[in-house]
Amino acid sequence: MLLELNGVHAFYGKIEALRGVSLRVREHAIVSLLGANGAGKTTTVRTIVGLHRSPGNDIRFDDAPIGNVPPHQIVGLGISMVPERRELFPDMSVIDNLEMGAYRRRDRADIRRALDWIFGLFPVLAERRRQRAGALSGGQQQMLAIGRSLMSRPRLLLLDEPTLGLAPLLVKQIFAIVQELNRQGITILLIEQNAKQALKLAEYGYILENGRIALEGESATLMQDENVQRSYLGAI
Amino acid sequence: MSAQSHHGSATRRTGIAANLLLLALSLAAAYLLPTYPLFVFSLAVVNIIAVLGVNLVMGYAGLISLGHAGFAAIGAYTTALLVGSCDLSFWPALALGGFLAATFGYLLGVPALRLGPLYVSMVTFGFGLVVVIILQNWYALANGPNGMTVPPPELFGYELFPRQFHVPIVLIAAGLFLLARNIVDSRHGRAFIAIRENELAARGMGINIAHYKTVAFAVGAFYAGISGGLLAGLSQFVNPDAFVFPVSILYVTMGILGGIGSLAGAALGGLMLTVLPELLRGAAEYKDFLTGLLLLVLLIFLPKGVVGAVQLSLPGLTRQSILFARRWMRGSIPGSSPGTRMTLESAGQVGGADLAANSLYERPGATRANSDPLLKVEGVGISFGGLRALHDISLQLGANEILGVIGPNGAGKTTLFNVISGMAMPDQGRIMFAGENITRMPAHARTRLGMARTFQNLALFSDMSVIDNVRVGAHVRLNSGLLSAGLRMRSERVEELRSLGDAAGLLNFVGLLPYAEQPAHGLAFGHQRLLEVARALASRPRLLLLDEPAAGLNSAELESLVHLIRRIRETYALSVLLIGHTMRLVMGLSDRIIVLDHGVQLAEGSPREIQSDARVIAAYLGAEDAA
Repeated sequence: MLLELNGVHAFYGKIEALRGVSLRVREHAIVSLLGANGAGKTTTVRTIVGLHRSPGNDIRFDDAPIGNVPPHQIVGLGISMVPERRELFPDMSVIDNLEMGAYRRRDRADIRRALDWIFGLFPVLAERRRQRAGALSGGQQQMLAIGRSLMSRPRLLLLDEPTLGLAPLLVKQIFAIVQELNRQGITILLIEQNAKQALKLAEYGYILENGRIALEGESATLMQDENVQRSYLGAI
Repeated sequence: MSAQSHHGSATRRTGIAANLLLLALSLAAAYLLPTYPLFVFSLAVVNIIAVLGVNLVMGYAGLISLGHAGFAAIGAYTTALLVGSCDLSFWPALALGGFLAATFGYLLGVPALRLGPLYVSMVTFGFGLVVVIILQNWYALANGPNGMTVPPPELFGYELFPRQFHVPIVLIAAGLFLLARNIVDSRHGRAFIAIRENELAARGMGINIAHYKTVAFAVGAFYAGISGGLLAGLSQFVNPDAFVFPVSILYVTMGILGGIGSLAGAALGGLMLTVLPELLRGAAEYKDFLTGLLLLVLLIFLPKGVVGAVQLSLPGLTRQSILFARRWMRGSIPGSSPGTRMTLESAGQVGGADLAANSLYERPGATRANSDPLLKVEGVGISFGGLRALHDISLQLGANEILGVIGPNGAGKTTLFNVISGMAMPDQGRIMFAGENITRMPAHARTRLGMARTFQNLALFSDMSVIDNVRVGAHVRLNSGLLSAGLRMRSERVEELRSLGDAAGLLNFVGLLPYAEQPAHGLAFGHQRLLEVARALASRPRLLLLDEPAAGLNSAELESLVHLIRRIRETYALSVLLIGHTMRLVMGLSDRIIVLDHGVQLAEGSPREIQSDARVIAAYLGAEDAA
């Protein structure tokens, strides 16, 4: 297993946001994490990258415990997060945003290659490389956010609602990109409100309710589940 | 929840008892302490008054004043001159000094309208310097740098010794503390905090930013003026040295040390930083060094100030709300029945009933029969630095109608919202709302006319509680003035209770009541969007502008949002302008839809027409979705 969570807890003050979350992500897989607002999806990815601490040191990446590794070193291990709402540096240019994603890398040639790779994935970013990130449209900003987190050449990409606020055409493009990244060998943990699309893409899915995993299974099985259909698969 | 408010009233009683004990001890000090320590204590209380003023400006309105010593100097010299040269009694002179300082504060606040917070600091810095330079060089006024003596204050014909003067100082400080607390815990205080937290959203709630910033400045300067006047009476002498720039910095430091945004912190900081250097007097040449070092250590370990370190959690419901709840229970407020336990839930039901009846607040012109469309946008265009964001957009929205706006990201949908709500001014065209031309009207005035909006990228007041966010939304419907809030008059208390019940009702309406007392930033993304909807509804708009309300909601939540918007339209009889990418929301709700692309109107029609329009499919929907 590339990523393993065994009974992870997280707290906001006295509020227990995660109450023992366990999940597994196989290398080269796409796994989706679904659930209502407030269920703890974002908290889960934030805990994986060390922005919250689970008291039990119960997260393993590539069979090594990472629960006590500080967030800036998590990136070096090969985990990268695309945060909810993108969190770009709006006053920096596209290229500067991308280079921030390679902040911990030193080899210029290596960074150059990463940039070329990302401009290949997102040609529109190459066209706009000198523009302010804040001046990009919503879809371009999402591509930039993904591109930035790819600059560290992660093995595991955590995508927190990558299609948030995007027009239907763009949603399709983003899902196509996720699929392409996976084809290139990157393991993906995907948080999505668009459950139908997410389950189509993923091989396995977890459903989070009130800080616990309420249901898990092969995507095909989940899509047949009546509760899942009622709560998450209405025709979006 | 009832257990919690019960617990709240118990804490409150202990709190009042503790404060009274503190007041009694402070007063008794006049008869217990030796002369010099008592003088230091009096001085500390005088400083506390100035720090309260700094804290109102800095901690609540979010502006840093570097010239508060200048305001104190105005208060001190006004008092000294009126008593010394005009033979006026000390007390009216003190009040006049305070008001003159407030006037200067108001005038200085004016630049704050146009310029950012950094400039406010620079302007006040300059002001403080200028005041001292004038006082030093104007010999005819008060002997320039030599200063002037002030006759001892009198009370009922008796001259007060400094020892006796301590008592009125403490009483005035206590009074001003209560006044500040009442202002902070009212619609005005919420407006201050809202401006600090998110200026854009505050404008959207109908808060006149310029007005509130100047008012904050005037009130802060008033406190400094009173502090200066009392200093003149206490030391019976004024000279410019007491009001130099380091004194302004000292006030700010006291505020930060105690805890920004906390009035108790202001008191604690003022006390500590007055007394501390005196305690270190023995180590004469190391005094400044030790004070600095101690300050550094304290701030490293207590970044939120002394009070911030003590306070473990945000009080969700403000103290005032708990007081209201208790009065309501006892039946001393009209409309409440005695003995009924007031809980947030019951407040929600009371508020909810009001929502349906819509009886509490008259909406101006709401009932006026009008066949004209509610909103008319005529040929509107706007450019940003050569980029044409909107070109020749026209639309009409009738009463009780839902109009959807769709289009690719970057098509100009949010810009259209900004132009309609007054966050951006169009280069061309005209906007009519409820029969008035509002093209150039500021955003806060549009809210008063009955327009409310949500924000695509969320603009909540994130450190405020969920329910207080909604109460800020009701700002334009509340009328209590600053004075009635400061003195907590009955009409203001009743209004506040109603706004609390109304806010609870709205939270119930959108399903967020269980989160009412949490800080808004703790909500999940989709819930934050619902809170924006509740906050917008709190102003009882005739037109509701919803910018992508469904982003971040899952299928089940989306279903309840669709239901909610339908209920909103029925309950409030309002019109909705809706931006959204979620086809189930827009197609399911809209009576008509307009499609924007690259800032121009691509199509307009019924949802069915739009879904089969070839241009829309190509630019926006993609082939599959149209099927």
